[in-house]
Amino acid sequence: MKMMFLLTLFVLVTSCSTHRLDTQIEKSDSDILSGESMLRYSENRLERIEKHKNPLIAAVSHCYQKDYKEGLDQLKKNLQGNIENPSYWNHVGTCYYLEDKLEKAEYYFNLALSTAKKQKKKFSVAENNLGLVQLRLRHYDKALDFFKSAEKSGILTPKFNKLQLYLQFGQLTKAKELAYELEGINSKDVDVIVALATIYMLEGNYKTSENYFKRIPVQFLDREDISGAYAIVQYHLGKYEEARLTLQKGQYTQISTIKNMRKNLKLLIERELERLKEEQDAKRLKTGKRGSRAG
Amino acid sequence: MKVIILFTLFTFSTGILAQSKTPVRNDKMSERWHTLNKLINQETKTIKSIGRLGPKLQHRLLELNSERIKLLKEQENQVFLSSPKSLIKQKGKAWFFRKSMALFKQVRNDGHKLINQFPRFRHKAGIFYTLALNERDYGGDKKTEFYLLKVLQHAKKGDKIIHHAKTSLAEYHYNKKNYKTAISYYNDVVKNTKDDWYTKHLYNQAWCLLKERQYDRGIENLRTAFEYSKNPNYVSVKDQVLEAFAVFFVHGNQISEGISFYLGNLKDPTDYLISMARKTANKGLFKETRDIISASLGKARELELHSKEIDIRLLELEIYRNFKKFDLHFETSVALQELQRKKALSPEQRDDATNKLKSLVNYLQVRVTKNRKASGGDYDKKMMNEVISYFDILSTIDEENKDSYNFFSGETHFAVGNYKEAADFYKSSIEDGMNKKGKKADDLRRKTLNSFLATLGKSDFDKKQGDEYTIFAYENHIKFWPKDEKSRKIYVKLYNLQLDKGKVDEALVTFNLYNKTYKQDAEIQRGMITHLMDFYIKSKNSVALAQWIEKFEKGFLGFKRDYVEKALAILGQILFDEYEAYEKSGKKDLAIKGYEGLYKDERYPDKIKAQSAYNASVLYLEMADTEKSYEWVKSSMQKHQYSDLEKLLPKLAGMSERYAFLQDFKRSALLSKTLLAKFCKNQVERKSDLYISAVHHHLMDGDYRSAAQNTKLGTACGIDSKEVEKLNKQIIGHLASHRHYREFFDFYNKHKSEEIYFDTFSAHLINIYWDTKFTSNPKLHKSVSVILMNWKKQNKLPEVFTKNLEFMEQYNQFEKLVKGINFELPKFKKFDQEKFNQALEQNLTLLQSITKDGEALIKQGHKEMTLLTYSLLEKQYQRMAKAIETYTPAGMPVEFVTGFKKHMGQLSGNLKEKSVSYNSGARTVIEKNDILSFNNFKFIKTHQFVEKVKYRYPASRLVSTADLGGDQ
Repeated sequence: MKMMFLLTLFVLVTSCSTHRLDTQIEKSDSDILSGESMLRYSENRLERIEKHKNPLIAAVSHCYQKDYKEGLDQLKKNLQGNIENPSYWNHVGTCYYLEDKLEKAEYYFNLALSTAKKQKKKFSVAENNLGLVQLRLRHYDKALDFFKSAEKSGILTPKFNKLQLYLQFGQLTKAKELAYELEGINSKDVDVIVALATIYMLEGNYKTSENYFKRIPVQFLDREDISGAYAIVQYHLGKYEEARLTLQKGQYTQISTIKNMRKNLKLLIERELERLKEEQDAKRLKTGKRGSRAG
Repeated sequence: MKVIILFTLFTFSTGILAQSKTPVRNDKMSERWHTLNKLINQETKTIKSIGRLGPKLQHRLLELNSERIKLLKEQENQVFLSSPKSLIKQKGKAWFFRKSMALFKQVRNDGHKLINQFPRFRHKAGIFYTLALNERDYGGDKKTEFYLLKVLQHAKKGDKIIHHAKTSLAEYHYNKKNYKTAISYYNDVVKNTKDDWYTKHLYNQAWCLLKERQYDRGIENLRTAFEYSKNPNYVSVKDQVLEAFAVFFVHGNQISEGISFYLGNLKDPTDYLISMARKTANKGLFKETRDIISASLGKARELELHSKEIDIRLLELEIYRNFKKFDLHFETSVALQELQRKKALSPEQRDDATNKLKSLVNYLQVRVTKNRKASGGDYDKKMMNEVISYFDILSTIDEENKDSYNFFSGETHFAVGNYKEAADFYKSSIEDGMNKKGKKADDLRRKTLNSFLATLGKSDFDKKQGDEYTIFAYENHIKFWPKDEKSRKIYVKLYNLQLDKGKVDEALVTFNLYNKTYKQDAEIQRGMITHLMDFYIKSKNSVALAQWIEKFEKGFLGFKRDYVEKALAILGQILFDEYEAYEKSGKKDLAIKGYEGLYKDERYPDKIKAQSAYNASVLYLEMADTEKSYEWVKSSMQKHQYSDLEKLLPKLAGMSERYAFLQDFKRSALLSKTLLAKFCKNQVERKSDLYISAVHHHLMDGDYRSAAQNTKLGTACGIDSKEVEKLNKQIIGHLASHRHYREFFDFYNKHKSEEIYFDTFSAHLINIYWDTKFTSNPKLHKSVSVILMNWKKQNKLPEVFTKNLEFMEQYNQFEKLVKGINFELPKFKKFDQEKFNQALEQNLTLLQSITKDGEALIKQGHKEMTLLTYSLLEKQYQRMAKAIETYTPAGMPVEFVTGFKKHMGQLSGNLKEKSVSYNSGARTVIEKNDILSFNNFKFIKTHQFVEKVKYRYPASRLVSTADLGGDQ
């Protein structure tokens, strides 16, 4: 009986979905993390990386393209000569992280750290990535600690991640501070803009939020999270029809939280549109005007 | 039945032997003898039955008794011949013939009596003739002539008996060497040409004539006899005559006539010519002899009479030797050798030739060596060459003894200091006599080999040839006398020489024989094999090395273990050199193929197989193929001896680590576990590492069951308890951290009774408790709560957590209390100031009260409860403010209502400010403490909407990896 109960728990806990949001940035000048991470590289950029002179980077580019086996196999073949290379272990860990094999990812990120430590070096990259693992495991405090430690080296990725984490937990002041800092570095980065738009949205400053959403390149507007947030802003600005269309254009998503939010928002929008329609109908009746043919 | 017959025969023959001391009448006389005897007896009986006998019948009886003497003598002679020598010695010969002698004497007396009794008897000559023949045949020939002359005296003219008596007289005188008298009688005898014995008489007379040097007459007699012999009416004496001619022609000095006679009258005259040549030679007539030989040889060649030609050559050898014509002798010998080559000599001819050649060559040998001594080292080279040639000829003719002749050739060369030539002949001698058995052959071999070895010591052969000869001599020495003190010393020398020459198979034959014969010389033999091993090592002959090592491992020659180990190591190095070269040139696949081949090759010992499998495993590992690497390392471990495996352990542990580096946690754990189990009870390096790997890497691979199973090895294999404890705590942490709750609780159930893990379990359970308290997993939260509450009852909970639980309880009560508050102001038909004020005061007092409780809770510092409390207080102030702000006193004048609203507005404003202060206070706490809680949202402006649409910022889907790759 107890075993059955525990099994149920296990199934519940491990069934969480971990799909990443699809952000493919074509140009490096629009990618604040361009030199630090290939996560948001477009397919074209990744294909170019496959021929990178550094075989380790070429290998891990396969993992970013979701060809984990190829990426890991290439890394295996490059083990010789790289055992003392923390980056090597970071790449292996990255592949496993991208494959959602968090235990192995954690193992290799730790190996990267300990390898660097033996060489009396700090390896912020691996710290950042361990933060990701902790984040995925919902150990948010630990994740934050890793990001904080990692950002000391000056790389931007931990800051970027910290921004996301603060935003997730509604720490808007800190989030805004980080977002502005990053915007100052690269104002074209879509996720930095989205973060700012979200911050203003959560603060209830919908007009400013809308302005940020308008700065987002059109190819990203249908991203499931962006379309949802933008629709919220439009909703609050009374642009119900636009909100409906934005929501409608949003990509199909498997992420349940976004899916549920969009469902709820859609109801609200539809309700408002219904209300508006009723108001217009009532007004028309009152004035005796007939609606336009195109109406 | 057969036995009985044999027994009977035996008895019979022994009976004869037993009786043989006294002569017995031998009944085994011929049928003819019995017939004659019977006839004599019958006729004698018949004559005697007549009664009184006349001279004629008595003469007949005399003749019959003479015949009887003959039969009797035949019988006595047979007894004599079959009698033992001792009896003959004892009795004397005469005793055996006494009866015939008695009868002879009786017949003689009877003859004399008859002549005396009948002096005018007309056949008196016949009686004398009988007595003459009896005298000749049985009486010692003493009175033969007397009786024969009596015959001539009493014979009637023309009686044939006169011819017979003269013939007997001629023969009598011939025998008595009275040739003249004999010739005289023969002159009368040969007048009778009608006698069928005419030819014989001529022949006999010829000999008498020869004796009297009347050669021409004698030759004439022979010619007549030869011619008459062709007539079948005459007794043929052809052969005797032809034989005799040779003598007669030679003595008559008519050599050319003789040659002509023979050549003219005989188809094959060679035998007679040889005979004649021999005679001329005996007479010292060299030229004549050569003429005869030449003629004879010509005829033999003409008729292609091979054997005769050989006979002639043999004769020549004899003659030339006697006449000291050595050149001719040598030529003849060469000719004989050629004849032998065409067709073998008969045994007799071969013996004859051999003896003659040997005789001369011995003589020449002595002369050559004597010459050399006399001339201080010089010798007659021509003669020397001839000697060697003679031995060669002998070897051809007497091939069976070729070994001897080669030995003698060798000896000859040796004697004059031609050591190289001597060595060649000695070698040939050994080779030729290789298959001969018996003492004689063995003696010759020993002599030859000794001489051969002596030669090698004396001559300055070039090294190659010297070695070749030495090997030959040694090989044969040990072959023929394996158990021999000289051989015992030779074995090692020969073996080393053979090895130096690279003749390994031959060296091994030497070694094996030595080993078989002298097992006690193990130490020397170990040295020999060590030498061999060095050779194999130098020549990189791995197959042979492996075969020997296998023998060593079975105890052969009692080699010490460290030597075997060293040999194994070298073998490994040789075998692996090739594949290591592949490795170095990057051809790892070829190297692996090689190692795999070695592993599968049955010829190699386990140690090599183990090392090969290990090497293949390492290469697969370098090629990042952990699956195959593991398969081969398993094979390697199966073949490795325990002690070797122990030496290899650090590397194997390293391999296990490398599997993990190559992302194969499963095989890393399996290898570690296997090694740990193997060395479970031993103190070995990196044991703890193996233990950790066996557990941790299974865990990394998601195989919790195996990981948990392997944890048991910690204690069982004597791993430091602190290490075991540390690892178990890591497992607990890992399972909790990665939210593997099923495994976590399984591990908890296994170890909950162990006090050392209580703190770790409780810390994680408390984390799970809070984690699930504020997120959506009520069932897990409930099960964790059950455990914790149970501990609480047992007072086992950590103090911090106990306090936290108490705060939680306080908060729950607070929340319950707060949620139970209904900030409602009373409604009146007509506003009742007093009652309103009372109600307002009660609400404000209540608000004050919960504010106090809430602030007390906030002070506890639990982040979630703090935020919740802030939120509750914020809301209550808002609610109160709203209640006051929206209250309108009913039934009152407008002025009153306006004044009332203004007054209440100030109050609600204060309450709102308080509410906002809780909000900002919470946000301050959040920011100050970097609180990451979903309760943070309770304090943002859009909180309600966020909650309404259930908006969540998808941070975990937006965060970024860092790889420092890509566009730089």
